[in-house]
Amino acid sequence: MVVALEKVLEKPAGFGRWQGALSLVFENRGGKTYLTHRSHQGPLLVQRPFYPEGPVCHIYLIHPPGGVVGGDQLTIAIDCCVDTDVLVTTPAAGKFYRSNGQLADQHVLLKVAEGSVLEYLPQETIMFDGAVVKMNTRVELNENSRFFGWEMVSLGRPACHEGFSHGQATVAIEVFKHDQPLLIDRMVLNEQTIKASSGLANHALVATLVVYPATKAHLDKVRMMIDEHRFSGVTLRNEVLIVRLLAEQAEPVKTVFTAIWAALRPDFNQRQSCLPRIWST
Amino acid sequence: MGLSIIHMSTESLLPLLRLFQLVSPSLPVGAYSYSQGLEWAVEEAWVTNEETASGWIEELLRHALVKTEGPVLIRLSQSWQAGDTDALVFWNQFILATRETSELQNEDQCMGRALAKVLEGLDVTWPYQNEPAVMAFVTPYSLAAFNWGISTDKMVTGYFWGWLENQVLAAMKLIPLGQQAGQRILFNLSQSIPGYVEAAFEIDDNAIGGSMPLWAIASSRHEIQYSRLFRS
Repeated sequence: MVVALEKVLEKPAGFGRWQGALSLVFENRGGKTYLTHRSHQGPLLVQRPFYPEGPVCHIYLIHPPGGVVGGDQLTIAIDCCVDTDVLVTTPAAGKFYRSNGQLADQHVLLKVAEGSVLEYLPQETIMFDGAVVKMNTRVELNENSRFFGWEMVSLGRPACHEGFSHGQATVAIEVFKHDQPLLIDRMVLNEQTIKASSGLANHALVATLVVYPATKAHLDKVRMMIDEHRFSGVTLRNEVLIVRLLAEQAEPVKTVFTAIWAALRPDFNQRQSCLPRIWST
Repeated sequence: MGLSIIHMSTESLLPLLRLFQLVSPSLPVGAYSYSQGLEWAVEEAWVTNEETASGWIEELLRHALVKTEGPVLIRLSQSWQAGDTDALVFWNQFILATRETSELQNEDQCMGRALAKVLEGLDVTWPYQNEPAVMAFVTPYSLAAFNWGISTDKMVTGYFWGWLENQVLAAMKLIPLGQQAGQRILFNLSQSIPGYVEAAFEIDDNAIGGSMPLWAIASSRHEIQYSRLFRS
C-alpha cells in the first residue's frame, strides 16, 4: 500500500523539483491573533486558522502531498508579531523519500516577537531508508517571548521492517535570542550514529522537546514524568528546557510529549491544554 | 655553524613543549573531575569493559568532538590571528550553546574559568576590551595556543588527545579497567586522531555540531545520579 502510494506520487524525471516556500505573518488585532499575511509557492499550504480556545490562532501546515524527495527545497517562515499567540501543527507525518543522490533541504524559521507565544507541535517526520536530508529549525526569540516546540524523527519504517542503513539526515534545532545562540543542537543521523551506544543505540525514533523560558520547577515536573523511560533525559540550561527521548515508534513519544505540554501549559502559557482537533482524526 | 642549528631546533621545539603543558593532566583545571556522562553509562551497563569503553569514547570523538570542538577551535584560531574580536565572542557563545546539558555546560565554563586563571599567571590575558564574562574551555585554550605559536592543527590534535586521555582515565576508575587496558585504548584510538583533525578542517559553518542523543541523555540523568564520583 505504502509502496504503491510512493510510486504514484513519484515525480517524473525532468519534471523539476519542489522549490516550496511558505511565509506566514501573525498579528494581534484587538486582543486576538490573526493570520494577516500568507504567501506560498509550490506545494506548501496552510488551512484556514481555527480558534478553539478564544484568541489563540491554531494553524495547520500541510506538507507537500506525499512527501519530499532529493533536490526539493522547502522554506517555511513563521513570523509571530508582537503579543501574538500561535499554535502550529501538521495534520500528518512529514515524509522524506529515498534520495536520487540529491539533498532534500527543509528550513524552518520561527520568529517570536516581544510578548508572543509560539507553540510548534508538528507530527513526526519519517525518513525513508536512503533519504538524504537536511532539516533545520531555527527559533528567534525576543524580549518576553515564549516558545514550546518539538521534533520527532522516525528513521526508516519499523512497521515495514525497514531500517535506515543508507542515507543521512541532519536534524538541527537552533534557538537564538537577540542574535545570541542559546541552543545549537545538530544531530547527524546515519547508520553509524544510529548503531552507536552513545548515539541512538539502534532506536528507530529520536525526539527532542524544547521550552523557553523554563524554570527549575518545570525541570522537576518533567523529570518525574519521564523518569520511568530509561532512554530519556531532561535538562535546563540558558533557561532552555530540553527533553530528549528515544523510542521504537512515534505514538508513545507523542503521548509523553503531549502530557508534558499539558503539564507545563497552565504555567507557561496560562492555558489548559487544548488538543488540536486534527490529532484525533 | 653547529651552534646555530641547535639554536634553530630549540626555537621550533618550544611550541611543542608549550602544547605538552597545555594538554597535561597536571594542568590545574580540574579535568579529572568530569566523566561527561560516562559515569551514567557505566551505571546503566551501557559501558562495561574495555571493548565497550573504547567504542563509547571513539564514537564521541568521531561524531561529536570532530564536528563541534574541532571546527570551533579552528575558527577561534583564525579569529585570534585576524584579531576579529566579534568572531571570538560569537564562537565562544556558540560552543556554550552546543553544550547539551546543564552539567556539560557548567563543566565547560568552570574549566574555561580555571584555564583563564592559569594563563593569567603566565601573563597570557585577553588582549581586547570585550572579554567575555563566561568562557568555554576552548576559548582560553586557543588564546594560549595563539600566544605560544602552536599551529592550528597541532592545537586541535592536542585538544583531542587531552580529551581522550581524560575519558580513558575516567573509564579506568569507573569500570574499572587496568593500566594495560587503558594504554591499549589510548594507543588504538589515537591512531585515528590525525584523520579526525583533517576532517575538522572540512566542516562548513552551518554544519558545526554533532549531538549524540544517548550521550546527552546520559549526562541529563547523571545530573541527578544518586551516588557519583564525577561532576559530569
